[in-house]
Amino acid sequence: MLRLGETHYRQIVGHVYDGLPLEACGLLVGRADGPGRVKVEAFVPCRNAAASAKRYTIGPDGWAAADRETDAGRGEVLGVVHSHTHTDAYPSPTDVEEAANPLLAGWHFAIVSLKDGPPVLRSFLIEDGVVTEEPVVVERR
Amino acid sequence: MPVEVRIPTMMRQDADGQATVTAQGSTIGEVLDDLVARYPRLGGKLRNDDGTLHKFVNVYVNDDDVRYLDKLDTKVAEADVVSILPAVAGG
Repeated sequence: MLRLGETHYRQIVGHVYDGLPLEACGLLVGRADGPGRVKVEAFVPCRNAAASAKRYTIGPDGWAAADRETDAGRGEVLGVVHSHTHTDAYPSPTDVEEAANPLLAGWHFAIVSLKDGPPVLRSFLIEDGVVTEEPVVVERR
Repeated sequence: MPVEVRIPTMMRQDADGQATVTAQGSTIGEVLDDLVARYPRLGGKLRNDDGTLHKFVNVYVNDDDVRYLDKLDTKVAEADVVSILPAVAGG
């Protein structure tokens, strides 16, 4: 389960729209919040270093911004968000291939689709090429 | 020449916990060789058996991915910052 605040959700959606027509991406900083649960403490908007509508890459500036959040005690980098501008909020074959990285073990891969107009946010665990959706809870105050 | 190399969080345990180290070299390949000579456990995480850069990491000189420059032959100068990053990408 991926828990995030409404402010984080709004930051994510805003960043995704700001990135158009390119894919947008950002890192999730937070901490474990029980078995199989994480709580996002900060969303770190990142520049898409691939500067593409079909691919994204997190560059050194994005990682440096995430380091500032972890150094401030907001937890660890626990996942990434990216947008699908014209496809569903489900990992593409490229997403699954790139997730097969031992440095990203246990990461949460959230995707925002803008395909049908209103943004759709879903999140996935991807291990050994197997995609498992997890619940996303946006906590409203 | 000495250049600053930034180490990602998940590799710092293999570099005595340091976030930034200084390494010597005039190309990315030389800088990585110097880094691995001092921190051997980084070696297998940075390069394949044939010496090429591992696909699980990206190496940047300032804001540029060396895969789009001259790969391990990419030149570095003293004021450059080399960043080793986990490859986080997708489509």
